Amino acid sequence: MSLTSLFKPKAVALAPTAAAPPGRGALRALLRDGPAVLGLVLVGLLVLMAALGPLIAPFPDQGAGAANVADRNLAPSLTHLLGTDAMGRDILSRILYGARPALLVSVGVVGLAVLVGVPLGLVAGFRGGRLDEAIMRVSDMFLAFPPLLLAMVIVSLLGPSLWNAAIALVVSWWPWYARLVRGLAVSLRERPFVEGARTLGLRDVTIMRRHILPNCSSPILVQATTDIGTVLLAAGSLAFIGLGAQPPTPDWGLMVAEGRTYVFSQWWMSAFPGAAIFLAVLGFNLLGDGLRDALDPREVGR
Amino acid sequence: MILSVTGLVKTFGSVRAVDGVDLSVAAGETYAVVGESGSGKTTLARCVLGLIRPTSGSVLVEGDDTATMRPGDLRLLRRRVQIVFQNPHASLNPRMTVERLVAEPMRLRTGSKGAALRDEVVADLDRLGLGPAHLSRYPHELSGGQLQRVALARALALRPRLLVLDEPTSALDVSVQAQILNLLADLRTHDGPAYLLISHDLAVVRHLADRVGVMYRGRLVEEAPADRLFAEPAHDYTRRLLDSVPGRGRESMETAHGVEP
Repeated sequence: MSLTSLFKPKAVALAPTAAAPPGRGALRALLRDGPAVLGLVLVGLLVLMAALGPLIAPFPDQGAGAANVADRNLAPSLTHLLGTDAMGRDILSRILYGARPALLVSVGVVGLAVLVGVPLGLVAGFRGGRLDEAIMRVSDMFLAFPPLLLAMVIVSLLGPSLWNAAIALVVSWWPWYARLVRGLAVSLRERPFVEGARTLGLRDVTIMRRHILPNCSSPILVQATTDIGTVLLAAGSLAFIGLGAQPPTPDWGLMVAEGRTYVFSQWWMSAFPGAAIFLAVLGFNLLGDGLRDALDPREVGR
Repeated sequence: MILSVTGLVKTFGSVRAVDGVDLSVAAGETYAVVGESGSGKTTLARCVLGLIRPTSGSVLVEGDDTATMRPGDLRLLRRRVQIVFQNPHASLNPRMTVERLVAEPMRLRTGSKGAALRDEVVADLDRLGLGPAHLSRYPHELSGGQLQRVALARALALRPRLLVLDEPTSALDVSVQAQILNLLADLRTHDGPAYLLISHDLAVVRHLADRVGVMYRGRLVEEAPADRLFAEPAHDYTRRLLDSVPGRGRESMETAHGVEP
């Protein structure tokens, strides 16, 4: 697997789920699935850290970025459970402070990509014709580049910051949703229930919103869940190479970068934030896979 | 005339799916189009519904020509012609409850909201033999016969002048088919819509139709009142169709494939 393919959204099943609305059956299926439950726990932990991090951090001022040179390079101990970094900041506090921006950026990026990509994909797939061609060719242009590479180019143009990294990631992610939803809309367009909606004399917008979109919601949800993890990793990677969050932001990718020169002597500086990224990505991936299985109409015995 | 079709042609590439069809349906009448698979009867229905544009010829609904209409007017015209599809599992949005499915067209006609809308939906469903217990059900929770009643309620909610019935019973269990047929016959007596029945099931046609048009390779080869067609078929193809069915017209005639007229 090439490095760039790591940062591509994983392709999810293209079959539209013209099936029953996901209800308790889907939830039960999810909770019976061991890996999915682990994913749910990891994501739940991340959300808790994001919500409560600043309140439960042992050294709040250091978490926010204040240096504490006297205690620098300390190994993990009872006072500093995960050790301190080269500027003497408590790594546990930094990780707790870092959860909120990590989660907000990845959820925000995926949310915006969905908001842009889904309507475009719906219109392209449902209307077809030249509009479809135009939208799809534009999205192909973006899809031709690996998302992380494209994001790097955009950040280089805008200047490195967490905000610009987020904007760059939205720009490189929306076409995946446009393409996903277009495929779903094309296959739903000819279904009798959509033709029936047409004979009612409904407007196209109403048909798309009421009859097409709800039947695309499961694949979108699955893709978005997995992508939150992928974007979190991509945002961390941008920070790692200096194109994302800037010091002294408590960003996990940035922390890995800051600790990398000490990795053989003070391994904890990079290892713990790296583990935080790893567990967060793992959580969203497992949850996404679990949702795909649980929402698959063929799997749900209803 | 509720529906007048004149010189209708629809080609797909080099295939002439409908090749010069003329027919008309009067108010309250049931006109059946029979023919084997691929004879063009479904394409004819789709043209009548305005789902596809005819290559040439005209479709007049109560005298209004669908071909010359602007899209906005066409949308409103469509409400006068509704359809019940063959397979109710595919023709009802799986993400909507029965109440929403029927309320959607009902609101277009009456403009009601909230409790008033719900009352109208309940009244229509009741007329079709579905109690209020079904309101909150999703399509996958209902049987084929119940779903076809919902599909009927949805189509009739707009009080169309013409109802296209595209093989309305062939996806249903044999035990349920008679119920739906009787329901369709009953609805016709209450100031209901005219029916354009598309079917290959001669038993259904015999039960419902006033007049029958026999379609073969995109053309109407014979048109006659139902009694006469079954008693003394004039066209050779029609005779073969009737003969091809064991018990003469009691079951499917899909077996008549490739018979030359």
